[in-house]
Amino acid sequence: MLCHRAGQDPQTLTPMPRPLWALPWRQDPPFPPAPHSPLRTAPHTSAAAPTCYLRHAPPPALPLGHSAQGPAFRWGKAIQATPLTTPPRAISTLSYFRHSQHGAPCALHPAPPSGWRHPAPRTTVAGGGRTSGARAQRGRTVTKMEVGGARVPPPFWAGGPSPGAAYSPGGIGIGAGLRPYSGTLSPMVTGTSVLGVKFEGGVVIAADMMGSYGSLARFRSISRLLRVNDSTVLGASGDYADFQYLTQVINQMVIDEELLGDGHSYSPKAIHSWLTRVMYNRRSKINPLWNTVVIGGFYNGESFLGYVDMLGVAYEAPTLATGYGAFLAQPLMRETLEKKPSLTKEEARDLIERCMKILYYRDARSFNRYEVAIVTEKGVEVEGPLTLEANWDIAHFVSGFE
Amino acid sequence: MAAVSALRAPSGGFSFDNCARNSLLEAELGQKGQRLPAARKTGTTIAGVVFKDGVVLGADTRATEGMVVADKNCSKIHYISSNIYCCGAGTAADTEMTTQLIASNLELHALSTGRLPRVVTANQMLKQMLFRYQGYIGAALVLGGVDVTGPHLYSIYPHGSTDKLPYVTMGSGSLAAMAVFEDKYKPDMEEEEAKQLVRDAIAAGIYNDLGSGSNIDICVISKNKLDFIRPYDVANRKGERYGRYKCERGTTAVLTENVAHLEIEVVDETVQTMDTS
Repeated sequence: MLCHRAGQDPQTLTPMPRPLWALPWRQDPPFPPAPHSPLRTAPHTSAAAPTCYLRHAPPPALPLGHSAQGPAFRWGKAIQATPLTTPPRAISTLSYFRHSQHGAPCALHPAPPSGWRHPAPRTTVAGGGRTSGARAQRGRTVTKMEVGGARVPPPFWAGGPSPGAAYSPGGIGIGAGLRPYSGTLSPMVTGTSVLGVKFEGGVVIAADMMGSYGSLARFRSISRLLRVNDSTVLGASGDYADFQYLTQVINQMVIDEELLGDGHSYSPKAIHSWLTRVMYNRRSKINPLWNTVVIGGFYNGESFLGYVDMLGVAYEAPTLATGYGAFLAQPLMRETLEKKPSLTKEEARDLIERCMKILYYRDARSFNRYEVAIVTEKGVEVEGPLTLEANWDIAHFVSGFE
Repeated sequence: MAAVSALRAPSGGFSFDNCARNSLLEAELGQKGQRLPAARKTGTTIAGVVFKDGVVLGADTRATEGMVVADKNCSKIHYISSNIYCCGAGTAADTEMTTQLIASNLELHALSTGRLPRVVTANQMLKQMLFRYQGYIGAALVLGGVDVTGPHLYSIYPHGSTDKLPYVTMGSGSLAAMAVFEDKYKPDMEEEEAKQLVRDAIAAGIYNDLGSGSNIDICVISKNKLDFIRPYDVANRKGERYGRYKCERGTTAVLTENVAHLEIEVVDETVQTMDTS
């Protein structure tokens, strides 16, 4: 828990390199930190005797944007003074033993469930457990239990959940009902299916150029394909705003990498891997990027075609389709590949076009203008906008409904 | 129950006689923590296509009950009359009973008119009944046949709407089958071409939809003949076991054998006469 906040390693207190999944300039809103976060407790002072016998790490330096008093931004007065923001009360040693040999619950270490007991303390000083217990109850302070909790199994980590206790991670803490939810609840402007097919020597990906606003065909000339670098392309369906954000992030990543000037560039598999982690982490915070992404590329002589979902579901396959394409186009693509496992570029292109036409016929949120991206050894070629020729001859056979 | 009959006009209005009973049953079972038995659905791919001389109807043969296959080889192409057949998707009981009912009534009607029944008549009867039940009869049908006016193909939805088209698909695998039709359909096909097309459409449903599976049944109806081919294609054959998994006696060597008799003594014997009154 400590580690994930602002990338600080509590053991060494040296800042860790920013983890790859931490997107650079979009921080989570500065919610009041979770009850168990060290940011909540009063600053550690050596004068006050720690009331909890479990080891406390000194709280790490606060991340940017937070003051020692707490987060600069508050979501309303209700948060200001909850019982959890007040420091734990100091108790005397006597009452410490009275609490059935547990320390009083502190903000960092909630009390274990009532049925749980510490193993009986043993001392090397004369007498068995019973005498030492009796001595302990009289308030003497020589039992080992008191000395840094040596008799108690040391916690595996500091500042985290204690064994047997209920744990609610930072994302969904007490007070979640008080905070307004600001994740993506539903997509707004959406794109429909993206198709992808591998062929001999590369990959081809296609997506139509429509952004639907519910059932309104709002934007009819938007590009849903992104050229990442010379070996990778990416196509996204779902929320268009999230795709635009992703584009920003990826473009910046590519620039940063070019600046390194080491001759390496992101491989399609690397982008797929990275994006899987990003999407999964976002969904784990209940704030997903509402997209289904198809990543295609050709790297080191091998074609790559991968799929990542807004839930973090990720896999590779020789043919891919998102959205309605999975129901309409995937059967056709699979059948073609079953008959001929290795396609040429023209055959793959032709297959994609047939599938896009069928999607235009049968998907109510599709459009007949689309883009195709072909990745080969030579690089990325984005063709578009292309228009589908639809065949409406069947209209002559239809008259009435009975 | 308001049964449709050509001889007796149906009583006016909707008949929801069993709804009160059903809701009571559900509540009762819910109290005990049980669920009503899941309706067996056909979870299906059915399709039909009009070709030069007639119609070809096709269906898969899997019936599902929730996530379990209840029947590996059920027949989804139902007889309506000698020149009209109907594929059914949705709740298995509904499709079965609805088609049987309309088949009976259509026969009475044909005897009454003295003519070969027309597909449009079957269509009207089916849609009027389904509309009367406001979608509660979960029957999605593909009705096809050849009559004096030519070949006709209809799709009928559970709420009672119908479409008259050259090619139709219904069921959970309908999108996969429709993709094949949209790709490969052309008007005025030959019989073999049409059969192959329907076979491909149903196969697409079988391989890409979990609710459809097993074999492909085909029914070719034309002016002079009727071919009910069941199965036309065994798409999913049960795998052959390559090895015998039975261990012969003597596979495991017996090193020692120790026979211990169980001492059983009769402690108490009671005889209780059965109450046969």
